[in-house]
Amino acid sequence: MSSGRFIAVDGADTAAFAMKQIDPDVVAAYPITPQTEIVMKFSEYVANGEVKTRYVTVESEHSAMSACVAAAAAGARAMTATAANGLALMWEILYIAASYRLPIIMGVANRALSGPINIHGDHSDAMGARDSGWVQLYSENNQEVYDNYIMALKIAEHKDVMLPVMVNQDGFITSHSVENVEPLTDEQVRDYIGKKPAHFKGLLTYGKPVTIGPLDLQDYYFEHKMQQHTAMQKVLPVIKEVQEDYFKKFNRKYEIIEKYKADDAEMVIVGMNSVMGTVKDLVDELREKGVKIGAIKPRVFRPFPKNEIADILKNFKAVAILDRADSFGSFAPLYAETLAAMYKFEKRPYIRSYIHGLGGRDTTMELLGTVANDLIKMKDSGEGHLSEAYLGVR
Amino acid sequence: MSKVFEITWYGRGGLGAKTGAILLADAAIAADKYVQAFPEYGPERQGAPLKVYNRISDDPIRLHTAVTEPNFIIVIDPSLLENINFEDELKEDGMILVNTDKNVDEIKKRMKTGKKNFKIYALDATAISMKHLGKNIPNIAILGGFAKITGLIRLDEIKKHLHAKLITKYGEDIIKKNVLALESAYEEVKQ
Repeated sequence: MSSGRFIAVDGADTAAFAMKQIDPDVVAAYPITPQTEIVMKFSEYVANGEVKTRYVTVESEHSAMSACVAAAAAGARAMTATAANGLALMWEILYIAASYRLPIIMGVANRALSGPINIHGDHSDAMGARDSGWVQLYSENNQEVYDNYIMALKIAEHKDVMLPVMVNQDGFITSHSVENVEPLTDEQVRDYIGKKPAHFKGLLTYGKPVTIGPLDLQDYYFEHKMQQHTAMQKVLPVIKEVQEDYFKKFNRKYEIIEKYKADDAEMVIVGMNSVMGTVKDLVDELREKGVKIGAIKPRVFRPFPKNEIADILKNFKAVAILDRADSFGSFAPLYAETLAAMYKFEKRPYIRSYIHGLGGRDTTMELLGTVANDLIKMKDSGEGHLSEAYLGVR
Repeated sequence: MSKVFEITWYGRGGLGAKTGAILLADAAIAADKYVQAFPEYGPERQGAPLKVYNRISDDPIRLHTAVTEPNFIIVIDPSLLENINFEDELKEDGMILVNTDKNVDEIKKRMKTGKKNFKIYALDATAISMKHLGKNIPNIAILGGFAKITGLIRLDEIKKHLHAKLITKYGEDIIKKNVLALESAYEEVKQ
Protein backbone atom coordinates (compact mmCIF):
# COMPACT_ATOMS: atom_id res chain seq x y z
CA MET A 1 0.00 0.00 0.00
CA SER A 2 0.90 3.64 -0.22
CA SER A 3 3.83 5.01 1.69
CA GLY A 4 2.17 8.43 1.28
CA ARG A 5 5.42 10.01 0.12
CA PHE A 6 3.99 11.46 -3.03
CA ILE A 7 1.16 13.67 -4.08
CA ALA A 8 -0.09 13.72 -7.68
CA VAL A 9 -0.06 17.33 -8.84
CA ASP A 10 0.58 19.29 -11.98
CA GLY A 11 3.32 21.90 -12.08
CA ALA A 12 0.94 24.81 -11.59
CA ASP A 13 -0.66 23.29 -8.49
CA THR A 14 2.82 22.40 -7.26
CA ALA A 15 3.76 26.07 -7.45
CA ALA A 16 0.56 27.08 -5.64
CA PHE A 17 1.17 24.44 -2.96
CA ALA A 18 4.72 25.72 -2.36
CA MET A 19 3.33 29.27 -2.14
CA LYS A 20 0.78 28.07 0.41
CA GLN A 21 3.51 26.56 2.57
CA ILE A 22 5.60 29.73 2.27
CA ASP A 23 2.49 31.76 3.20
CA PRO A 24 3.78 35.10 1.90
CA ASP A 25 2.47 38.40 3.28
CA VAL A 26 1.23 39.60 -0.10
CA VAL A 27 0.36 38.00 -3.43
CA ALA A 28 -0.70 40.23 -6.31
CA ALA A 29 -1.45 38.52 -9.58
CA TYR A 30 -3.36 38.60 -12.82
CA PRO A 31 -4.31 35.37 -14.59
CA ILE A 32 -2.82 34.32 -17.92
CA THR A 33 -2.61 30.85 -19.50
CA PRO A 34 -0.76 28.63 -18.53
CA GLN A 35 -0.07 30.38 -15.21
CA THR A 36 -3.79 30.81 -14.38
CA GLU A 37 -4.03 27.62 -12.36
CA ILE A 38 -1.25 28.79 -10.02
CA VAL A 39 -3.09 31.91 -8.90
CA MET A 40 -6.50 30.25 -9.13
CA LYS A 41 -5.39 27.50 -6.76
CA PHE A 42 -3.65 29.99 -4.49
CA SER A 43 -6.77 32.16 -4.32
CA GLU A 44 -8.65 29.05 -3.10
CA TYR A 45 -6.15 28.73 -0.26
CA VAL A 46 -6.79 32.39 0.55
CA ALA A 47 -10.57 31.95 0.42
CA ASN A 48 -10.37 28.84 2.63
CA GLY A 49 -8.29 30.70 5.18
CA GLU A 50 -5.37 28.30 4.72
CA VAL A 51 -2.91 31.20 4.38
CA LYS A 52 -2.67 34.60 6.02
CA THR A 53 -1.69 36.23 2.74
CA ARG A 54 -3.21 39.52 1.64
CA TYR A 55 -4.30 38.66 -1.90
CA VAL A 56 -4.48 41.67 -4.19
CA THR A 57 -6.50 41.24 -7.35
CA VAL A 58 -5.28 43.71 -9.93
CA GLU A 59 -6.29 44.77 -13.43
CA SER A 60 -3.06 43.82 -15.20
CA GLU A 61 0.37 42.27 -14.77
CA HIS A 62 1.88 45.75 -14.76
CA SER A 63 -0.17 46.43 -11.66
CA ALA A 64 0.59 43.00 -10.19
CA MET A 65 4.32 43.67 -10.27
CA SER A 66 3.78 47.27 -9.09
CA ALA A 67 1.81 45.99 -6.10
CA CYS A 68 4.57 43.46 -5.33
CA VAL A 69 7.18 46.23 -5.52
CA ALA A 70 5.16 48.38 -3.13
CA ALA A 71 4.57 45.47 -0.74
CA ALA A 72 8.22 44.40 -0.69
CA ALA A 73 9.32 48.02 -0.32
CA ALA A 74 7.15 48.15 2.79
CA GLY A 75 9.00 45.06 4.08
CA ALA A 76 6.51 42.35 3.10
CA ARG A 77 7.26 38.97 1.57
CA ALA A 78 5.63 39.36 -1.83
CA MET A 79 4.99 36.79 -4.55
CA THR A 80 3.33 36.63 -7.93
CA ALA A 81 3.23 34.48 -11.06
CA THR A 82 2.83 35.09 -14.76
CA ALA A 83 3.65 33.93 -18.29
CA ALA A 84 4.43 35.22 -21.78
CA ASN A 85 2.58 38.46 -22.60
CA GLY A 86 1.89 38.96 -18.91
CA LEU A 87 5.61 38.99 -18.21
CA ALA A 88 6.07 41.35 -21.13
CA LEU A 89 3.51 43.73 -19.66
CA MET A 90 5.45 43.75 -16.37
CA TRP A 91 8.59 44.78 -18.21
CA GLU A 92 9.44 48.19 -16.81
CA ILE A 93 8.49 47.17 -13.28
CA LEU A 94 10.74 44.08 -13.44
CA TYR A 95 13.71 46.42 -13.73
CA ILE A 96 12.44 48.56 -10.88
CA ALA A 97 11.94 45.52 -8.59
CA ALA A 98 15.52 44.43 -9.24
CA SER A 99 17.08 47.87 -8.91
CA TYR A 100 15.30 48.47 -5.58
CA ARG A 101 16.80 45.16 -4.42
CA LEU A 102 13.40 43.70 -3.50
CA PRO A 103 13.37 39.93 -2.88
CA ILE A 104 10.10 39.24 -4.72
CA ILE A 105 9.47 35.63 -5.86
CA MET A 106 7.73 35.11 -9.17
CA GLY A 107 6.72 31.86 -10.83
CA VAL A 108 6.78 31.86 -14.63
CA ALA A 109 4.99 29.13 -16.59
CA ASN A 110 7.16 29.73 -19.64
CA ARG A 111 5.10 30.39 -22.73
CA ALA A 112 5.68 31.64 -26.26
CA LEU A 113 5.22 35.35 -26.85
CA SER A 114 2.75 36.55 -29.47
CA GLY A 115 2.43 36.87 -32.38
CA PRO A 116 0.84 34.85 -33.65
CA ILE A 117 -0.91 33.94 -30.42
CA ASN A 118 0.38 30.70 -28.96
CA ILE A 119 -0.33 29.56 -25.42
CA HIS A 120 2.27 26.77 -25.26
CA GLY A 121 5.66 26.34 -23.71
CA ASP A 122 8.85 28.02 -24.81
CA HIS A 123 11.37 30.33 -23.19
CA SER A 124 10.89 33.48 -25.24
CA ASP A 125 9.27 35.19 -22.25
CA ALA A 126 11.98 34.53 -19.65
CA MET A 127 14.84 34.99 -22.13
CA GLY A 128 13.51 38.40 -23.00
CA ALA A 129 13.66 39.30 -19.31
CA ARG A 130 17.18 38.00 -18.83
CA ASP A 131 18.74 41.45 -18.51
CA SER A 132 16.15 42.80 -16.08
CA GLY A 133 18.29 42.04 -13.04
CA TRP A 134 16.24 39.08 -11.78
CA VAL A 135 17.79 35.81 -10.70
CA GLN A 136 16.42 33.03 -12.93
CA LEU A 137 15.99 29.42 -11.78
CA TYR A 138 14.81 26.69 -14.18
CA SER A 139 12.91 23.49 -13.36
CA GLU A 140 12.93 20.20 -15.26
CA ASN A 141 9.95 18.61 -13.52
CA ASN A 142 7.33 19.31 -10.85
CA GLN A 143 9.56 18.13 -8.01
CA GLU A 144 12.16 20.64 -9.09
CA VAL A 145 9.50 23.34 -9.36
CA TYR A 146 8.59 22.67 -5.74
CA ASP A 147 12.13 22.62 -4.40
CA ASN A 148 13.10 25.69 -6.45
CA TYR A 149 10.24 27.70 -4.94
CA ILE A 150 11.33 26.88 -1.40
CA MET A 151 14.99 27.56 -2.12
CA ALA A 152 14.19 30.72 -4.12
CA LEU A 153 12.98 32.44 -0.98
CA LYS A 154 16.22 31.69 0.86
CA ILE A 155 18.28 32.89 -2.09
CA ALA A 156 16.28 36.09 -2.61
CA GLU A 157 16.32 37.10 1.06
CA HIS A 158 19.97 36.26 1.67
CA LYS A 159 21.79 39.35 2.98
CA ASP A 160 24.33 39.23 0.14
CA VAL A 161 21.60 38.96 -2.50
CA MET A 162 18.34 40.83 -1.79
CA LEU A 163 17.21 40.45 -5.39
CA PRO A 164 14.01 39.19 -7.01
CA VAL A 165 13.96 35.57 -8.19
CA MET A 166 12.02 34.07 -11.08
CA VAL A 167 11.20 30.33 -10.89
CA ASN A 168 10.68 29.03 -14.42
CA GLN A 169 8.87 25.91 -15.57
CA ASP A 170 7.62 24.91 -19.01
CA GLY A 171 4.06 25.99 -19.72
CA PHE A 172 1.71 23.02 -20.19
CA ILE A 173 4.57 20.51 -20.52
CA THR A 174 5.04 20.56 -16.75
CA SER A 175 2.55 23.22 -15.60
CA HIS A 176 -0.36 21.04 -16.76
CA SER A 177 1.20 17.61 -16.34
CA VAL A 178 0.41 15.63 -13.20
CA GLU A 179 3.54 14.02 -11.77
CA ASN A 180 4.76 12.62 -8.46
CA VAL A 181 5.83 15.33 -6.06
CA GLU A 182 7.21 14.70 -2.61
CA PRO A 183 6.51 17.86 -0.64
CA LEU A 184 8.02 18.80 2.67
CA THR A 185 5.66 19.15 5.60
CA ASP A 186 4.24 22.59 6.40
CA GLU A 187 6.32 22.59 9.55
CA GLN A 188 9.53 21.72 7.71
CA VAL A 189 8.97 24.59 5.29
CA ARG A 190 8.07 27.00 8.08
CA ASP A 191 11.20 26.08 10.02
CA TYR A 192 13.38 26.19 6.94
CA ILE A 193 12.35 29.58 5.60
CA GLY A 194 11.95 31.03 9.08
CA LYS A 195 10.91 34.59 9.78
CA LYS A 196 12.03 37.42 7.55
CA PRO A 197 15.72 38.10 8.21
CA ALA A 198 16.56 41.26 10.19
CA HIS A 199 18.16 42.97 7.19
CA PHE A 200 14.91 42.68 5.21
CA LYS A 201 13.17 45.64 6.76
CA GLY A 202 11.84 47.12 3.58
CA LEU A 203 12.87 50.43 2.17
CA LEU A 204 10.40 52.55 4.07
CA THR A 205 10.76 52.95 7.81
CA TYR A 206 9.01 55.27 10.25
CA GLY A 207 11.26 57.87 11.76
CA LYS A 208 13.71 57.72 8.87
CA PRO A 209 12.01 59.23 5.87
CA VAL A 210 13.67 58.55 2.52
CA THR A 211 12.72 58.95 -1.11
CA ILE A 212 12.87 55.88 -3.33
CA GLY A 213 13.38 55.96 -7.07
CA PRO A 214 13.80 59.67 -7.72
CA LEU A 215 15.66 61.16 -10.65
CA ASP A 216 19.16 59.70 -10.80
CA LEU A 217 21.05 61.22 -13.70
CA GLN A 218 24.61 61.23 -14.91
CA ASP A 219 25.93 61.82 -11.42
CA TYR A 220 24.96 58.52 -9.73
CA TYR A 221 22.89 56.23 -12.01
CA PHE A 222 26.01 54.43 -13.23
CA GLU A 223 27.16 53.70 -9.66
CA HIS A 224 23.74 52.34 -8.75
CA LYS A 225 23.79 50.01 -11.76
CA MET A 226 27.27 48.91 -10.68
CA GLN A 227 25.81 47.93 -7.31
CA GLN A 228 23.31 45.66 -9.05
CA HIS A 229 26.14 44.08 -10.98
CA THR A 230 28.09 43.54 -7.76
CA ALA A 231 25.03 42.02 -6.08
CA MET A 232 24.54 39.60 -8.98
CA GLN A 233 28.15 38.49 -8.66
CA LYS A 234 27.41 37.32 -5.13
CA VAL A 235 24.43 35.20 -6.12
CA LEU A 236 26.04 31.95 -7.35
CA PRO A 237 27.94 31.25 -4.11
CA VAL A 238 24.70 31.88 -2.20
CA ILE A 239 22.74 29.49 -4.45
CA LYS A 240 25.45 26.89 -3.87
CA GLU A 241 25.26 27.41 -0.12
CA VAL A 242 21.44 27.22 -0.13
CA GLN A 243 21.45 24.04 -2.23
CA GLU A 244 24.01 22.38 0.06
CA ASP A 245 22.01 23.32 3.13
CA TYR A 246 18.81 22.03 1.49
CA PHE A 247 20.58 18.74 0.78
CA LYS A 248 21.76 18.46 4.38
CA LYS A 249 18.32 19.17 5.77
CA PHE A 250 16.11 17.28 3.33
CA ASN A 251 18.45 14.95 1.41
CA ARG A 252 17.57 16.50 -1.96
CA LYS A 253 20.59 17.27 -4.07
CA TYR A 254 20.63 20.15 -6.52
CA GLU A 255 23.52 21.80 -8.28
CA ILE A 256 23.86 25.04 -10.22
CA ILE A 257 24.63 22.88 -13.26
CA GLU A 258 23.43 19.28 -13.15
CA LYS A 259 25.71 16.75 -14.84
CA TYR A 260 24.20 13.47 -16.02
CA LYS A 261 26.51 10.62 -17.02
CA ALA A 262 29.03 13.26 -18.07
CA ASP A 263 32.15 12.06 -16.25
CA ASP A 264 33.43 9.83 -19.06
CA ALA A 265 31.36 11.35 -21.86
CA GLU A 266 32.83 12.48 -25.17
CA MET A 267 29.69 14.36 -26.14
CA VAL A 268 26.98 16.19 -24.23
CA ILE A 269 23.60 17.76 -24.85
CA VAL A 270 23.05 20.99 -22.88
CA GLY A 271 19.62 22.47 -22.20
CA MET A 272 17.16 23.76 -19.64
CA ASN A 273 13.75 22.78 -18.20
CA SER A 274 11.51 19.87 -19.21
CA VAL A 275 13.36 18.73 -22.34
CA MET A 276 16.27 17.59 -20.19
CA GLY A 277 14.20 14.71 -18.76
CA THR A 278 13.74 13.37 -22.27
CA VAL A 279 17.46 13.95 -22.97
CA LYS A 280 18.38 11.82 -19.93
CA ASP A 281 16.25 8.96 -21.26
CA LEU A 282 18.01 9.31 -24.62
CA VAL A 283 21.40 9.26 -22.88
CA ASP A 284 20.48 5.99 -21.14
CA GLU A 285 19.31 4.47 -24.40
CA LEU A 286 22.55 5.43 -26.22
CA ARG A 287 24.77 4.42 -23.31
CA GLU A 288 23.37 0.89 -23.64
CA LYS A 289 24.69 0.94 -27.20
CA GLY A 290 28.10 2.09 -25.99
CA VAL A 291 27.79 5.74 -27.09
CA LYS A 292 29.69 7.97 -24.67
CA ILE A 293 27.12 10.73 -24.28
CA GLY A 294 25.90 12.74 -21.31
CA ALA A 295 23.59 15.62 -20.40
CA ILE A 296 24.32 19.00 -18.85
CA LYS A 297 21.49 21.01 -17.32
CA PRO A 298 22.06 24.56 -16.08
CA ARG A 299 19.46 25.24 -13.38
CA VAL A 300 20.42 28.89 -13.16
CA PHE A 301 20.55 31.21 -16.16
CA ARG A 302 20.87 34.51 -14.28
CA PRO A 303 23.42 35.06 -13.08
CA PHE A 304 24.93 33.00 -15.88
CA PRO A 305 27.30 30.40 -14.37
CA LYS A 306 29.92 31.21 -16.98
CA ASN A 307 33.01 29.80 -15.29
CA GLU A 308 31.19 26.71 -14.10
CA ILE A 309 29.75 25.87 -17.51
CA ALA A 310 33.03 26.56 -19.32
CA ASP A 311 34.95 24.34 -16.92
CA ILE A 312 32.44 21.51 -17.34
CA LEU A 313 32.29 21.70 -21.13
CA LYS A 314 35.96 22.26 -21.95
CA ASN A 315 36.93 18.58 -21.95
CA PHE A 316 34.22 17.20 -24.22
CA LYS A 317 34.77 16.63 -27.91
CA ALA A 318 31.34 17.78 -29.07
CA VAL A 319 28.59 19.84 -27.47
CA ALA A 320 24.99 20.48 -28.58
CA ILE A 321 23.23 23.47 -27.01
CA LEU A 322 19.42 23.34 -26.94
CA ASP A 323 17.60 26.67 -26.76
CA ARG A 324 13.82 26.88 -26.47
CA ALA A 325 13.98 30.50 -27.65
CA ASP A 326 15.45 32.34 -30.61
CA SER A 327 17.25 35.64 -30.78
CA PHE A 328 16.33 36.77 -34.24
CA GLY A 329 19.37 37.96 -36.11
CA SER A 330 21.83 36.71 -33.52
CA PHE A 331 22.76 33.55 -31.59
CA ALA A 332 20.24 31.77 -29.37
CA PRO A 333 20.65 32.85 -25.71
CA LEU A 334 22.14 29.77 -24.00
CA TYR A 335 24.33 29.10 -27.05
CA ALA A 336 25.62 32.67 -27.23
CA GLU A 337 26.52 32.88 -23.56
CA THR A 338 28.12 29.44 -23.55
CA LEU A 339 30.25 30.38 -26.56
CA ALA A 340 31.36 33.58 -24.83
CA ALA A 341 32.20 31.66 -21.67
CA MET A 342 34.30 29.13 -23.61
CA TYR A 343 36.42 31.78 -25.34
CA LYS A 344 38.91 31.87 -22.48
CA PHE A 345 40.20 28.43 -23.45
CA GLU A 346 42.55 27.87 -26.36
CA LYS A 347 41.30 24.33 -26.92
CA ARG A 348 37.53 24.22 -27.18
CA PRO A 349 35.03 21.50 -28.05
CA TYR A 350 33.05 21.51 -31.29
CA ILE A 351 29.77 23.25 -30.52
CA ARG A 352 26.48 23.43 -32.37
CA SER A 353 23.28 25.38 -31.65
CA TYR A 354 19.83 23.80 -31.79
CA ILE A 355 16.68 25.87 -31.45
CA HIS A 356 13.82 23.55 -30.53
CA GLY A 357 10.25 23.38 -29.34
CA LEU A 358 9.12 26.93 -30.13
CA GLY A 359 5.44 27.42 -29.35
CA GLY A 360 5.33 24.11 -27.50
CA ARG A 361 6.32 21.92 -30.49
CA ASP A 362 7.03 18.48 -29.05
CA THR A 363 10.77 17.79 -28.81
CA THR A 364 10.59 14.03 -29.29
CA MET A 365 13.11 11.29 -28.64
CA GLU A 366 13.46 10.93 -32.42
CA LEU A 367 14.39 14.59 -32.86
CA LEU A 368 16.86 14.45 -29.98
CA GLY A 369 18.24 11.26 -31.54
CA THR A 370 19.17 13.28 -34.63
CA VAL A 371 21.07 15.69 -32.37
CA ALA A 372 23.01 12.75 -30.92
CA ASN A 373 23.78 11.50 -34.44
CA ASP A 374 25.06 14.95 -35.39
CA LEU A 375 27.29 14.94 -32.30
CA ILE A 376 28.72 11.52 -33.19
CA LYS A 377 29.67 12.88 -36.64
CA MET A 378 30.90 16.23 -35.33
CA LYS A 379 33.14 14.87 -32.57
CA ASP A 380 35.68 13.49 -35.07
CA SER A 381 35.15 15.54 -38.21
CA GLY A 382 34.06 18.88 -36.78
CA GLU A 383 31.17 18.81 -39.25
CA GLY A 384 28.50 21.27 -38.16
CA HIS A 385 30.76 23.12 -35.72
CA LEU A 386 29.42 26.62 -34.95
CA SER A 387 26.38 26.09 -37.14
CA GLU A 388 22.82 26.76 -36.05
CA ALA A 389 20.03 24.25 -36.55
CA TYR A 390 16.27 24.48 -36.07
CA LEU A 391 15.22 21.11 -34.70
CA GLY A 392 12.24 19.61 -36.54
CA VAL A 393 11.14 22.83 -38.25
CA ARG A 394 9.36 22.14 -41.55
CA MET B 1 12.41 2.85 -19.69
CA SER B 2 10.73 -0.06 -21.38
CA LYS B 3 8.85 -0.55 -18.15
CA VAL B 4 6.83 2.64 -18.62
CA PHE B 5 3.19 1.77 -19.35
CA GLU B 6 1.63 4.36 -21.66
CA ILE B 7 -2.03 5.16 -22.18
CA THR B 8 -3.82 7.44 -24.62
CA TRP B 9 -7.39 8.49 -23.90
CA TYR B 10 -9.55 9.56 -26.84
CA GLY B 11 -12.47 11.66 -25.73
CA ARG B 12 -14.38 14.85 -26.22
CA GLY B 13 -14.37 17.93 -24.03
CA GLY B 14 -16.81 17.44 -21.15
CA LEU B 15 -16.71 13.62 -20.97
CA GLY B 16 -14.16 13.63 -18.19
CA ALA B 17 -11.17 12.04 -19.95
CA LYS B 18 -8.82 14.43 -18.18
CA THR B 19 -10.39 13.78 -14.78
CA GLY B 20 -10.24 10.04 -15.49
CA ALA B 21 -6.53 10.26 -16.32
CA ILE B 22 -5.87 12.24 -13.14
CA LEU B 23 -7.85 9.76 -11.02
CA LEU B 24 -5.85 6.95 -12.59
CA ALA B 25 -2.64 8.79 -11.69
CA ASP B 26 -3.90 9.29 -8.12
CA ALA B 27 -4.72 5.60 -7.76
CA ALA B 28 -1.34 4.56 -9.19
CA ILE B 29 0.47 6.92 -6.82
CA ALA B 30 -1.43 5.34 -3.96
CA ALA B 31 0.27 2.11 -5.04
CA ASP B 32 3.66 3.90 -4.92
CA LYS B 33 4.03 4.04 -8.69
CA TYR B 34 5.42 6.94 -10.67
CA VAL B 35 2.92 8.64 -12.95
CA GLN B 36 2.19 11.32 -15.47
CA ALA B 37 -1.22 12.57 -16.58
CA PHE B 38 -1.44 15.34 -19.14
CA PRO B 39 -3.77 16.46 -21.90
CA GLU B 40 -2.80 17.37 -25.40
CA TYR B 41 -3.97 20.95 -25.36
CA GLY B 42 -5.66 22.50 -28.29
CA PRO B 43 -8.32 25.12 -27.98
CA GLU B 44 -10.58 23.73 -25.24
CA ARG B 45 -14.17 23.40 -26.38
CA GLN B 46 -17.02 21.32 -25.05
CA GLY B 47 -17.56 18.42 -27.46
CA ALA B 48 -14.31 18.83 -29.41
CA PRO B 49 -12.11 15.74 -29.78
CA LEU B 50 -9.14 15.61 -27.42
CA LYS B 51 -6.37 13.28 -26.31
CA VAL B 52 -5.16 12.77 -22.76
CA TYR B 53 -2.11 10.75 -21.80
CA ASN B 54 -0.95 8.68 -18.84
CA ARG B 55 2.38 7.13 -18.04
CA ILE B 56 2.76 4.63 -15.18
CA SER B 57 6.06 3.15 -14.05
CA ASP B 58 7.87 1.61 -11.09
CA ASP B 59 10.73 4.05 -11.67
CA PRO B 60 10.77 7.86 -11.90
CA ILE B 61 9.46 9.08 -15.27
CA ARG B 62 11.62 11.69 -16.98
CA LEU B 63 10.15 11.78 -20.50
CA HIS B 64 8.42 15.05 -21.31
CA THR B 65 6.97 14.24 -24.71
CA ALA B 66 3.55 13.33 -26.01
CA VAL B 67 2.70 9.62 -25.96
CA THR B 68 2.97 8.39 -29.55
CA GLU B 69 2.88 4.58 -29.26
CA PRO B 70 0.94 3.62 -26.15
CA ASN B 71 0.35 0.19 -24.63
CA PHE B 72 -3.31 1.00 -24.08
CA ILE B 73 -5.89 3.13 -25.85
CA ILE B 74 -9.11 4.18 -24.15
CA VAL B 75 -11.88 5.37 -26.47
CA ILE B 76 -14.27 7.16 -24.18
CA ASP B 77 -16.42 8.44 -27.07
CA PRO B 78 -17.20 5.68 -29.63
CA SER B 79 -18.01 8.26 -32.32
CA LEU B 80 -14.23 8.77 -32.57
CA LEU B 81 -13.60 5.09 -33.33
CA GLU B 82 -13.32 5.47 -37.14
CA ASN B 83 -10.85 8.35 -36.80
CA ILE B 84 -8.18 6.48 -34.87
CA ASN B 85 -5.41 4.69 -36.74
CA PHE B 86 -4.79 1.89 -34.26
CA GLU B 87 -2.24 0.22 -36.51
CA ASP B 88 0.02 3.30 -36.42
CA GLU B 89 -0.72 4.45 -32.91
CA LEU B 90 -0.76 1.34 -30.74
CA LYS B 91 2.06 -1.03 -29.78
CA GLU B 92 2.01 -4.66 -30.93
CA ASP B 93 -0.12 -6.67 -28.46
CA GLY B 94 -1.62 -3.37 -27.27
CA MET B 95 -4.99 -3.15 -25.60
CA ILE B 96 -8.04 -1.11 -26.55
CA LEU B 97 -10.97 -0.33 -24.26
CA VAL B 98 -14.00 1.13 -25.99
CA ASN B 99 -17.00 2.73 -24.33
CA THR B 100 -19.79 1.23 -26.44
CA ASP B 101 -23.18 -0.44 -26.27
CA LYS B 102 -22.06 -2.83 -29.03
CA ASN B 103 -20.11 -6.05 -28.62
CA VAL B 104 -16.45 -6.45 -29.60
CA ASP B 105 -17.19 -8.14 -32.95
CA GLU B 106 -19.41 -5.25 -34.02
CA ILE B 107 -16.94 -2.50 -33.09
CA LYS B 108 -14.03 -4.36 -34.68
CA LYS B 109 -15.66 -3.79 -38.09
CA ARG B 110 -15.50 -0.03 -37.55
CA MET B 111 -11.86 0.06 -36.44
CA LYS B 112 -8.81 0.78 -38.58
CA THR B 113 -6.47 -2.07 -37.75
CA GLY B 114 -3.85 -3.94 -39.77
CA LYS B 115 -1.20 -6.55 -39.12
CA LYS B 116 -0.62 -5.84 -35.45
CA ASN B 117 -2.20 -7.99 -32.82
CA PHE B 118 -4.48 -6.15 -30.38
CA LYS B 119 -6.75 -7.11 -27.52
CA ILE B 120 -10.05 -5.27 -27.77
CA TYR B 121 -12.45 -4.79 -24.86
CA ALA B 122 -15.96 -3.37 -24.85
CA LEU B 123 -17.68 -1.71 -21.92
CA ASP B 124 -20.94 0.23 -21.88
CA ALA B 125 -19.56 2.87 -19.56
CA THR B 126 -22.19 5.40 -20.64
CA ALA B 127 -25.06 3.06 -19.65
CA ILE B 128 -23.36 2.32 -16.32
CA SER B 129 -22.88 6.04 -15.74
CA MET B 130 -26.51 6.83 -16.65
CA LYS B 131 -27.76 4.06 -14.36
CA HIS B 132 -25.74 4.93 -11.28
CA LEU B 133 -25.01 8.65 -11.68
CA GLY B 134 -27.93 9.72 -13.82
CA LYS B 135 -25.66 11.43 -16.36
CA ASN B 136 -23.08 10.62 -18.99
CA ILE B 137 -19.73 10.82 -17.16
CA PRO B 138 -18.23 7.51 -18.25
CA ASN B 139 -14.72 8.01 -16.85
CA ILE B 140 -15.32 6.28 -13.51
CA ALA B 141 -16.68 3.17 -15.20
CA ILE B 142 -13.77 3.23 -17.65
CA LEU B 143 -11.37 3.12 -14.69
CA GLY B 144 -13.16 0.03 -13.36
CA GLY B 145 -12.72 -1.66 -16.72
CA PHE B 146 -9.07 -0.59 -16.91
CA ALA B 147 -8.37 -1.97 -13.44
CA LYS B 148 -9.88 -5.34 -14.39
CA ILE B 149 -8.04 -5.61 -17.72
CA THR B 150 -4.57 -4.51 -16.64
CA GLY B 151 -4.37 -5.23 -12.93
CA LEU B 152 -2.14 -2.14 -12.78
CA ILE B 153 -4.34 -0.45 -10.21
CA ARG B 154 -6.68 -1.99 -7.68
CA LEU B 155 -10.32 -1.15 -7.14
CA ASP B 156 -9.77 -0.31 -3.48
CA GLU B 157 -7.07 2.20 -4.46
CA ILE B 158 -9.42 3.95 -6.87
CA LYS B 159 -12.20 3.93 -4.27
CA LYS B 160 -9.93 5.44 -1.66
CA HIS B 161 -9.02 8.27 -3.98
CA LEU B 162 -12.57 8.87 -5.16
CA HIS B 163 -13.44 9.29 -1.53
CA ALA B 164 -10.61 11.70 -0.81
CA LYS B 165 -11.33 13.74 -3.93
CA LEU B 166 -15.09 13.95 -3.82
CA ILE B 167 -16.02 13.89 -0.13
CA THR B 168 -15.97 17.62 0.64
CA LYS B 169 -17.53 18.75 -2.62
CA TYR B 170 -20.13 16.01 -3.18
CA GLY B 171 -20.60 13.94 -0.02
CA GLU B 172 -21.04 10.23 0.73
CA ASP B 173 -24.08 9.66 -1.48
CA ILE B 174 -22.34 10.65 -4.72
CA ILE B 175 -19.29 8.62 -3.74
CA LYS B 176 -21.45 5.54 -3.21
CA LYS B 177 -22.93 5.96 -6.69
CA ASN B 178 -19.47 6.31 -8.20
CA VAL B 179 -18.28 3.19 -6.39
CA LEU B 180 -21.28 1.25 -7.75
CA ALA B 181 -20.40 2.41 -11.28
CA LEU B 182 -16.80 1.37 -10.71
CA GLU B 183 -17.76 -2.09 -9.47
CA SER B 184 -20.32 -2.72 -12.23
CA ALA B 185 -17.72 -1.83 -14.85
CA TYR B 186 -15.20 -4.14 -13.21
CA GLU B 187 -17.69 -6.99 -13.58
CA GLU B 188 -19.08 -6.11 -17.00
CA VAL B 189 -16.00 -5.40 -19.15
CA LYS B 190 -15.70 -8.00 -21.95
CA GLN B 191 -13.07 -9.02 -24.47
